[in-house]
Amino acid sequence: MRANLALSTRIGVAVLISLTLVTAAVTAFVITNPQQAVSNMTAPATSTYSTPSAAPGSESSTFVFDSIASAAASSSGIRTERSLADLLPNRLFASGGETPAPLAAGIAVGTIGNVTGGIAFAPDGVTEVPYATADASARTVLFDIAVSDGFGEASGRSTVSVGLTVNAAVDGDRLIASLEAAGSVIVVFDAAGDFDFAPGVYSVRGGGTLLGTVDTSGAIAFPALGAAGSEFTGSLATVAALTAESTRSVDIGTIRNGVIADD
Amino acid sequence: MKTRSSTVRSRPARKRGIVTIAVAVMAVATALVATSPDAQPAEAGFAANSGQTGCNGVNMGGYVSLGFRYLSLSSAMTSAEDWSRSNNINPTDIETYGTSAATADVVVRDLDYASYCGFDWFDTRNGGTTGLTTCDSVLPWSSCGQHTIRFSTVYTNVATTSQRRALACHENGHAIGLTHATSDTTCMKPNVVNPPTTFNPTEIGWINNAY
Repeated sequence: MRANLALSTRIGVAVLISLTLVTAAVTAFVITNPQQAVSNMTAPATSTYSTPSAAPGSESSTFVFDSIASAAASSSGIRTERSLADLLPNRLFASGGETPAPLAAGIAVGTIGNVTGGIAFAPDGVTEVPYATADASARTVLFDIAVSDGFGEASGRSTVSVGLTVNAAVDGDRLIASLEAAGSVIVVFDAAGDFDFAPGVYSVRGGGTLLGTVDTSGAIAFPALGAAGSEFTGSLATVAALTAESTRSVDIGTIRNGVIADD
Repeated sequence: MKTRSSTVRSRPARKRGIVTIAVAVMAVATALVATSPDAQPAEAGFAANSGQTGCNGVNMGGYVSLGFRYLSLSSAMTSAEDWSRSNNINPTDIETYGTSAATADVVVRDLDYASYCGFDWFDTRNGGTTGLTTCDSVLPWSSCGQHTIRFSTVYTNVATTSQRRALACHENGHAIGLTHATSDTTCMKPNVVNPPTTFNPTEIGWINNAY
């Protein structure tokens, strides 16, 4: 009787293991080989917004730079400026017969504050909806820069208001917290007017990638540019070097179809 | 005693049977996992089934055979897309076909975009975004049910044939799961003025391994 019980137990365990293996195998097959398992499309998952996983004040500034970098993950483009120097106000460029003008409206170095949610874009990518909308496709967060060093339109100003748009899969509350933690930054911005809901707000050039950091020694970095960041800053890797470069005589170049001509 | 004797005699046979069944189940499970197309983990350069939707959704396409629908696409980009499908995608394990169905796997269109998805779209003075691939819906297994590729007509109107083909190659690459590359040997490196018009062998290997 005891032997029969032991045998039954062993058979039961074996059957259980076998069933588990079959279930695991089928599950793995369905997950990894869907075309054979499911043939019809079903309703999409549209909600990408989630509640914050980090309390405000404890977020790392890394989050915002990673978010900016990921925003351009499925696009392609032409970056007109070859380096940070091309964005200073003493570098003028002519394009299509227009009067030579700087590429960027200005550059501000300073401290981030007053970070707030702005708007979001609906899944159509165009319609503006509230910042916290769950199924948005992109979100714009607003913040001020208390300017310590200003170039172009930031020169002589104490504050510049900036908007940053990122993919809406990014947690909106974490984004705000991360910007609040960013501290001292550098922002290259385009002409104000990109945001209908906030007319005086400047947009960050380069799809947000030209929001960078400035450390206590004045060293500049653009983390969202990744490996290309150091090449982009080139010899202007400090605020002091940037300031010195901005005092050089005006240089005029030509842009053709979004590319700076070599001549 | 007879029962006990019978039980004792039959135990090795039952054990062999159980072992045989277990081995068979394990073999089947191993075979199923090994033959599934994207059982390997997602690598840098290939997004596989991310399940990501919206403005930067990069996923595999849902099927080995992908229907492309051109929606009011300019003739220049129609040519570039046709070229890319024939020369970039169809030589891989994926086949593409044209369709007018609203449920197409990939919708391709072009417009003078200004701020779609919040991007700085191309203008001839400032450069900017020339193409974008979004995932509009995902399938239950997190592949993309429908991608939309958008081209900036401001850029494609001034681009060369080679640049248009490279742009089509780049966005088509996103629509089948490729992500940005740092190598100069592929159209998947972003922000290049005159990029190659092809995927590199590593990317082709990822595609053929995944589909």
